[in-house]
Amino acid sequence: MNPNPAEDNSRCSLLSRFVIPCGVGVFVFFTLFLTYYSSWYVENRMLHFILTDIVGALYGFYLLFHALILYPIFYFRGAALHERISGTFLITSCWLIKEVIRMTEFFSIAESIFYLLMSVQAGIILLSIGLMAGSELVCRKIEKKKKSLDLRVVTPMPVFFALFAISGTAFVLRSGGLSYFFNFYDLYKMVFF
Amino acid sequence: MQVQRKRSSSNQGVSRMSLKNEPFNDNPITRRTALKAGAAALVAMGLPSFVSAAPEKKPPNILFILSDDHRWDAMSCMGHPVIKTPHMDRLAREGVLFSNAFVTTSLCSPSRASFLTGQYAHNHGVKNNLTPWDNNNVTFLELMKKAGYSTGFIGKWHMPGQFPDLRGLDKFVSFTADGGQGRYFNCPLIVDGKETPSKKEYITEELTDYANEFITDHKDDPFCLYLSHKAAHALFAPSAKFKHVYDGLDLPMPPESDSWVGLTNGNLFPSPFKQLYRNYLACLTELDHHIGSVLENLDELGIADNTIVVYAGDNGHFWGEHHLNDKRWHYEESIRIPFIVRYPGMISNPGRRAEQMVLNIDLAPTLLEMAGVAVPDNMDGKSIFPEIKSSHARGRDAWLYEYFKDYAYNVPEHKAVRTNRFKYVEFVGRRKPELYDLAEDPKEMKNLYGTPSGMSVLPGLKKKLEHLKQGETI
Repeated sequence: MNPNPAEDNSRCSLLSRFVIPCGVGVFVFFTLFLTYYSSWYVENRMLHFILTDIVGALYGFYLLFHALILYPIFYFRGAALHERISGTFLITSCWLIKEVIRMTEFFSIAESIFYLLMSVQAGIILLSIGLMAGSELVCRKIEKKKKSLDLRVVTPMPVFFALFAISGTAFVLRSGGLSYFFNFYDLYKMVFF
Repeated sequence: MQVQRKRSSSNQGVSRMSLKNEPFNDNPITRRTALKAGAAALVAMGLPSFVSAAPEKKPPNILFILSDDHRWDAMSCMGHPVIKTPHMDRLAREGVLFSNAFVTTSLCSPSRASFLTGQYAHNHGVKNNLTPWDNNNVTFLELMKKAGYSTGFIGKWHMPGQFPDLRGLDKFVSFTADGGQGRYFNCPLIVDGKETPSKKEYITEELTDYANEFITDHKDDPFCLYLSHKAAHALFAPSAKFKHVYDGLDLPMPPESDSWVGLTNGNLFPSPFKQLYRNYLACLTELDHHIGSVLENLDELGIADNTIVVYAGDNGHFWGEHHLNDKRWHYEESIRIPFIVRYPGMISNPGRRAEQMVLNIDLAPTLLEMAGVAVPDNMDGKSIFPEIKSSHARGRDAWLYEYFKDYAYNVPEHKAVRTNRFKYVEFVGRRKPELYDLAEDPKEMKNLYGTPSGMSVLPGLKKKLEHLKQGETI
């Protein structure tokens, strides 16, 4: 991907362009996660349903589409490419790490890490990659229009990653996700049995 | 090969009775006694030949219908507020409904193997959806075949390992698509070892057609048919005809349920949950419709009275209870199944609800006993024929539940003892045990482990669990 022409690190400190957006992103993720879990124990049924349905929906939406929000924030604060990618992927990573930790209650560390290849996890990783690539293109377009810069919007790398994510997601979701699910099990048996 | 029957031949008894009354004595012969003696001689000569000419009663036909993920309360005869299951209700009305029926492992493959072999998962070896079926396992179908029955297996096999080499089958129709789960629509089949395209679009209808064909072909034999449906497993897909049967109706969901309850304990899973439940109920109603078709076929062929029909599910299903989806866990919603037996030729008080605890491992010994076939010693289950015949039969006091870890589901390996009143569960790993008083807390919301009331019953339950783990029967 092209370096962000908005990267003027002298204007935005590391704290402002990277650390704070990361912190806010992770805070929102854990707030939604903990609120959803806590709402299970709310005894008032009406409040229980409002909380679980609304917070559950927000939690799911945020996990799936956080790249659409976070990536542009990093971009327009002047974060470098590696900062934009690592900062955005931090949310997905938090969820994946939580999943691996949860799996270690029942399975070996190797099996728990292998679990990241399963449909839901693989799908979320691919979606993040695709949305980051898409966000990069949209941010460039906005940047070009806003600042009248001589900037190439469409370059091979974001297009490649967008296509990779789309084809990967299609592969995971074919026949309702069942084919990939059974491919995953076949691979698991080959590796661990 | 002849059907091995435990019942003694009836004509021997009749002959003995008629001979016993013959008037051989020293009394003077009068006209009356001469006529009596002559009549008796005629009867003595004629009756045996008459009796031997009468057709011997045919052994009962057996039809076992197994559904997938059908929880025990999703039938109208169980008081479900929405679902309509008129044909399952008919079975219950004309037979015995076991309202305390359970599986010993709440997972498709182990449970199916238990139905077939009469054994616990730790004995038949199919512990989860990954450990393979052992072709050395003996199924009740094999034993029925040896006893002279025509046998058929039609439907979902879905056990790990290679497609099985099942002995003693005259007809074997199954599928391997999607890891053996099959597909609701246009599912390719394997018919007697040969790949065969689907003839009907919808799997439940297709399997029903094969079953009706088998029954019609073997109506004059004693037959034993295992009809195992894909419905109503996820992805809960009814056909277009039934898809909208419950649209617009308000479905009561458990208090703990919400739109985001999933397999991964609060993590993301496709929802909306309520729509999945609606589709699940529609799949079951469609299954019920096709069960009606099989029952109608039995009626039309005139063999319903001499056919044992058993309907059961392979495990239950959570719809948000305990914040859970799927099955596997030891909670009641997961381990309870529908279990109905209809046999007009034997059940004298149809429409009865039996309260005794019965298990999936009881099916094989029960069917064998009802067919008069010897039950092998290595079966863990016990025949519930006494419970079918009488509400006064004493059921079991306790039984073992076992779940083995199944990658990649977040359910720990566990073992439990379930009595008529209590359930005590021990987990492998770092979870603390659970203990529930099912009489006081039927929804299992209050873990009594570590509480004073729990401690008072704990030693006895632990002892029972240890006995059951050793293979003892309680």
